[in-house]
Amino acid sequence: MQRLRVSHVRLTRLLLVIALMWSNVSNAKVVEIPQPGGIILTAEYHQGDADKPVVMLMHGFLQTRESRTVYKLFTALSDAGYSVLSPTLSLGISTRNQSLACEALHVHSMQSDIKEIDVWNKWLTDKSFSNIILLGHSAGNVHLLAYLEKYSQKNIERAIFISLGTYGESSSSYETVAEATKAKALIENNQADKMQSFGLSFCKEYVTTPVNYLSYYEWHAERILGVLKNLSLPVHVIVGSSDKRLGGKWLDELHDINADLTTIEGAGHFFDDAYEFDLLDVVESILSTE
Amino acid sequence: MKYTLSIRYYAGIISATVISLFVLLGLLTYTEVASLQFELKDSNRKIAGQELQAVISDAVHDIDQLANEFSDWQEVSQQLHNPVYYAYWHNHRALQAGVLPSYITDVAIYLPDGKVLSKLDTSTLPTEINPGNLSSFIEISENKLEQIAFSPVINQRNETKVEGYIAIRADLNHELVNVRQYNYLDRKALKFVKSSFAVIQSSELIDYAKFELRPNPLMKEIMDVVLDMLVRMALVIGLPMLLLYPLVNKLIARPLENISQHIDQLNATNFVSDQPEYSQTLGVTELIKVRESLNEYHQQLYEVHSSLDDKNKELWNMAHHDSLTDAFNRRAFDDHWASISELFDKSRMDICLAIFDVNSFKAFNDSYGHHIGDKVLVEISSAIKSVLRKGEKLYRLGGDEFACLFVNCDLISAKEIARRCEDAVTLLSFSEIGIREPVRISIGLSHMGPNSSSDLADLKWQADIAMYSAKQPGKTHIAYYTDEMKEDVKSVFSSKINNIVYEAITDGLGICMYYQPVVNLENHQPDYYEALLRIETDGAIVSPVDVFQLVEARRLEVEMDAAILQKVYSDLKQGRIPEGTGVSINVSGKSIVQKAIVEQLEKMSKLKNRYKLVLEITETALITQIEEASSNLHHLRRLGFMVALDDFGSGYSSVRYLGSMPVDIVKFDITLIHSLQKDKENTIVRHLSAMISESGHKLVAEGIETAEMDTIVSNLEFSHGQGYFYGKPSSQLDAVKVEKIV
Repeated sequence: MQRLRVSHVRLTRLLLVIALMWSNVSNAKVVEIPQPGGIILTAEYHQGDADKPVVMLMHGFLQTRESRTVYKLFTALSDAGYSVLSPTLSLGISTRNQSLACEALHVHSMQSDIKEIDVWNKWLTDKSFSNIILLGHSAGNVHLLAYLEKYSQKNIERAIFISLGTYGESSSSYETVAEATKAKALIENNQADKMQSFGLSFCKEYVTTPVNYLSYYEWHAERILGVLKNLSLPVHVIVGSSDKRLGGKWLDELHDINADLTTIEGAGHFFDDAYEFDLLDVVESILSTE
Repeated sequence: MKYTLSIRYYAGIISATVISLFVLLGLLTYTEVASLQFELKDSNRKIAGQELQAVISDAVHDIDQLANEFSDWQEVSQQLHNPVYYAYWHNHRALQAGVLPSYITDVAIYLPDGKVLSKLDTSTLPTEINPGNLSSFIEISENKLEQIAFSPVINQRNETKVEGYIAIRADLNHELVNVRQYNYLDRKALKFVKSSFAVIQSSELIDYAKFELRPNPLMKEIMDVVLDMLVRMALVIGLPMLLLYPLVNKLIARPLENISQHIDQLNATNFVSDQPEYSQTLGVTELIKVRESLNEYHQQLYEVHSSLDDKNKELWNMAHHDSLTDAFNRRAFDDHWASISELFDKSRMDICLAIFDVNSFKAFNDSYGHHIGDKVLVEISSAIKSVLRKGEKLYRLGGDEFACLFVNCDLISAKEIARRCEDAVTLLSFSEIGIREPVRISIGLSHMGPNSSSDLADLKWQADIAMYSAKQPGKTHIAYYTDEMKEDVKSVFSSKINNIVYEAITDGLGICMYYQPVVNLENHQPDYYEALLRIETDGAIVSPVDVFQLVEARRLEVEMDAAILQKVYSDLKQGRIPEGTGVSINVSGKSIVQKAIVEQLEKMSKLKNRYKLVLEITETALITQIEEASSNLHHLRRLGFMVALDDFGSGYSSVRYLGSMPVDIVKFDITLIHSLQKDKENTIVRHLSAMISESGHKLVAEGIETAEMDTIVSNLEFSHGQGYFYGKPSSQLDAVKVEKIV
């Protein structure tokens, strides 16, 4: 496990912030891919150096690619010369560009989400990228793991999971066994498509169908650890030591499976403030390694 | 100033005026502010209407904007793409998501053709809209005011593509009444009234608004400030003005009144010595000064008054006392007379007036000098006062005339007092001052009783008449006035005769000299004429008796003699008396010693060459003033006058005196001449005439009325005769009849 001691407020990083204002993001473009049923998928893409791999970023739960952590990674990696694709999961909304509220009607599921990831994977493949690096944040990591579990991993070079969390009952989330039981009961009562309010992740009232609910709920820690262990590509996990969303046992469990875990001291779930630079350092460090 | 008021009235007027002005000013100010308030309210009402219109426009616009924003919400787009859960989204999500404010009561999503995405029983919005008219409108009814706003849902990738429409229903009443802020109108009183349901445009909503203005804090503050100012002014001005009256009353008016009353008391008490000083406590320095000045002035005034009182008493005494005799004087008599008159008018009583006169006092004065005469008066005054009763006063009226008033005194008592007075004077002896003759007084008494109808003033002239009577020879020296007495001396007190005599004396008016011949008994031709005074008035001759009575009573002998001399001189100058004859003029003893008379005679003496000039002097006149008279007569004889002793033998004729008198002619009184007809007396007169004739005197026989008498006197030593037998007195000498000649 690599541990980095983070120094606060470095002048060089301040200069970097200033430099980002004239970063290569200006070269980025939005890619839209219409889907059957009228939904149009969107992603921001930066064409990087030809000798560098492409990085596909995945935002967190109900977020967009505009979320701060993901956006900073996009710009930093773009500036570093990487080609970067940062899609926004539609979550059932065409050209979605807004975070989706917990209380909104969630007609999406884990399956629909990873299907979209696959669309983008294919789009990258179509762009002749064969060395895709998956870089997720928070629940986006779960989507990537679910994708890796279900789809082929042949053009995936490696995966970096930042603030890797889990679904399923935990002290830091609202989903409970009881909620899952309720969803299952509804399914058994032929009410699989009935909109209901469930507790999921940080949403106390997450409105969705029982089936959709369970598609996320089933991605609990045990399942994730199982997937991680079975992945054939290099996997890196980066966490902040002050991330409250991650239970203490989770990190231990990650240790237990010998995950390549980097902990940034003092950083939280979103690596706010100066910790984002530490995060970028780590990510770039990982990307620069063979 | 024509009108004067008490200072408390001025204070009251000032207080009332200031308070009235203040109240007026307050009312004017309050009215002005109230008017301003009304104008502001009217203006504010207009502004409030404009404000409400603006707020309505803003609210409507905001709701339209909400509709626009709502249409941009991706969940709306999500529903258009996947309306499976539209009902759930409509009922549980659309309004609860926090995208729309709470006053949005309903939403609906419409397909591009205007039909609602899904007909819901719970929706209050139309099931179909007209995509060609998306203007919002307002539904107003008795209880509701709601705006229905529309907005197209624009495709985000292609803004020309409309994916559908949304409608929202907003509780506009809530927004306008409970949310929006107003500066001018009272939000709580804002109402939109429409009895029946209607659909209107937002621009029409103002017509249904009922509102009240918000209390204008500035105006309220101004009014509060004005009221506060008025209250303060009332405290600052009103209270002092209210206090001014009692203060002025207490501090100035009442003390001034007290001072004034004190001064009045001082006046009323006529500055008695024990009058207390004004000592009341005063609150005003100037009044204290006034009090001190008053007391000081009062003290000074009292001292001056006391001094004046003493002086007045002294002056009164001086003014009412005769300095010589210490009797009261004429002024005191007049004052006493006035008070007695007033008393008599109110209550009739016995009053007697006694007038005292010293007999022949003039002769004493002339003979012994005034200082002796003064001593005589002092003694007589003292003697009379010594016998008067208590309270009876002796007044010296002038010269030798005294008076005394007896109040509540009957005539008998008055006579008794008069008798005591006469006795007291009789007992006096003046030998020490050289007076050998007896000094007597005459007393005239008049009386008026309670039943008398006469005026008290009559007492004076009645006493005068009585005195005149008492003075007459042979009468008692105490005379009481009777009406008969009045007849006897009426000429003396006749105002007509008085006027005639005084006019004759002063202007010579009415004097008409009558001449009676004095004939030479040898040839019975008029040797000269005796000038006899007559006064003519209204064509008649006034009785010579009355004239001489008045002249003697009024002691006008000198003045009358002067007038006669003037007239005779005039007659001589005019030739009324034949030249070669002469004129004999009667001159009183008083006149012969007067320088002016002597000067008149000196002037007349220049006619001695044309006329024989004779002065006839009575024996009494020569006796009383013998020295001065003799001197003058000697002087006049040297100038050519002859002196005739008139009425010889009528009184106490003294042969002794005759020898020493400068007399040329002796006129035997008629009584002596008539006695020639009696044998016994004839002898005496014969011898007397022979003796006087032998001493060198010419003799004139008066009263010759018959031839027999002419014969008698012609046979004696008489050289001249006079009487009706020879001629009566006449103003026309041609008419003089001389019996002997005839």
